[in-house]
Amino acid sequence: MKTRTACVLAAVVMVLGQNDGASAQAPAGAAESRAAAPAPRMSPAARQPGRARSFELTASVFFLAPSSLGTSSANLTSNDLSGTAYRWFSASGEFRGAPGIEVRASYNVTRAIAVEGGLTYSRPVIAFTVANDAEGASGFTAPGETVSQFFFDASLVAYLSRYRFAGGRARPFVEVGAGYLRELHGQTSAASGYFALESGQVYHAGAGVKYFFRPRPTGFVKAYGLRFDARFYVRNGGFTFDGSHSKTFAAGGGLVVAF
Amino acid sequence: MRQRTGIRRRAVIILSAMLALGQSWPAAAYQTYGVQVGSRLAPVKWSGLPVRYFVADRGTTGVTSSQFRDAAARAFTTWQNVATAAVSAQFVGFTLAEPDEEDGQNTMGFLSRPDLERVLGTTNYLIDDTTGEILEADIFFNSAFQWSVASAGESGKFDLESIILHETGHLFGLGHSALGETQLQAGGGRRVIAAEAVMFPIAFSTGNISDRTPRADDIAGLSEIYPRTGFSSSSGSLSGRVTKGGQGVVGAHVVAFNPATGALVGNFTLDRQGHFTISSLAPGPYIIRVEPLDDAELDSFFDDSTISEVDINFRVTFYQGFIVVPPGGGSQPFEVQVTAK
Repeated sequence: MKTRTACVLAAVVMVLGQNDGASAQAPAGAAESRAAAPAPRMSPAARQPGRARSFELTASVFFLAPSSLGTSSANLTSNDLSGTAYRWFSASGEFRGAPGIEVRASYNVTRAIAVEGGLTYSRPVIAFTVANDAEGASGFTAPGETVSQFFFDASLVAYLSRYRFAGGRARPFVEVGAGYLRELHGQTSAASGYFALESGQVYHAGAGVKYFFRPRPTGFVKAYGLRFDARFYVRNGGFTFDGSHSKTFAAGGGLVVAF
Repeated sequence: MRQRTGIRRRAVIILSAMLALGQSWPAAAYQTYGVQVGSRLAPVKWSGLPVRYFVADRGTTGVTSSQFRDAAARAFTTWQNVATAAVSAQFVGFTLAEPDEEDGQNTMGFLSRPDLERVLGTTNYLIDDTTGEILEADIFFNSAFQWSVASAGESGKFDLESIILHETGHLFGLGHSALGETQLQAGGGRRVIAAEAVMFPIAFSTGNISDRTPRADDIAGLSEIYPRTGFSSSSGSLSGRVTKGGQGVVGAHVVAFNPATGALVGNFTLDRQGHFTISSLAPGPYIIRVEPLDDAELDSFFDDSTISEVDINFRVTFYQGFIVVPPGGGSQPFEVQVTAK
């Protein structure tokens, strides 16, 4: 059993360290040999970020743009035979723009395609506007409550290799993804916990660019870089005034580490 | 000429005391009734269910006693189907008794009262004023008006099932709601423009059957008095004050609006400090609207001793923030400051 475990570990190291164009079909004995060797030096190509079957981690800060939460009317039942609604007043809501943080783990399936998992966290404030009061009360906009909002998503990333720039270090990409939306709200005071949970789905599409600095010649981390994203999100579910989908843009950037 | 609008009055002296100044009833999410027992207010309610009732064996033009019985059964079933409340009623049989006799049995039926030219129906209670227990309740419907039991309603006639639903709401202990808009009519009385509570004191026009369905305000009221198991811990309340120039406002109508569900539930400020509480609310954020009580006669809500203190001279005002209602608890207290018109 011990032998088998050692072989598996060695094979993993081989995969992580292989060159894009190199064969991964090294003999088992050779794999064991390389695993046992201290800090093998690889060719520069083998340490290039973005190569196939390599991992990346990203930590970003971003800004979520304001987004409408729809409009809800306070309706009375009209005194007519159709029973139609009589609008007493209306209230519309929006998430105000808010900063957020994000971590993403990427796996480059090929040089052109990657899959990602991400966790995005923000605390937007719900603001609401009251208008159209049937008895003439003045309309106004006021802050409502703060929501802790999480996106857990899986994404597909396609690198636009032909549009590389900065000597090939900057790699533009486009991405689409979907995931789980979780919103916590309902604080009765700043010191109290949340009691309300809203959930739903979140979808996004976007584009961005990764810029990697010169690869490190040795070590587990192959390269550091910067990543910038701009995304369009659609929330289905979560807190809304009218059950509609809410849409928003987000843009941000952070540090990406290639392994 | 027959009036097309009727005011459904609750009858009674013993109930009017419940809303007197200084007797704020903290567990009211609409107007419910209570009796002062020592230092506390006991809710007016039935101690045993189902409520057993008789139907007067006398119809009126266009409505037989059997049709009346069936309409009453539908109305009681509607209340019984409120998921968050536990009420029930049982038809016992027809009776020759009048629906205004103190005879130990609950009777409903028609009476001809042309002298009550705006009254469609009235609920009279006999209450044990040491416990708040309802001992007997009778309901009469004024046969001076035209009534209909047609499933789709009938032009020129009041929908009996709708009015029974209102009066049986009283029978279970609900008071009047102020969730409605009205306009004064040239010939006297008011016409309802719109309402969002079966327990609004002025009926919809003839032919209208909208009040066969309880609204959020009615449901909150019934659920407060007869909560199903677990309702109290899954619902919450909000409370605060309405002030004008630093002084509490008596009789302000406070409405909580849930923007996520569209539900509207109201109550009144019931003391000189302007305190109010709205209970039986689904947890979540609410928008608060405060208005003067100017869409129905004040005696539909308050007794004579209180009416003189009710302030209707202020502008409709919103609280400029969400009020968050937690499950099984209450909001942070808040104050709504109104200004004179």
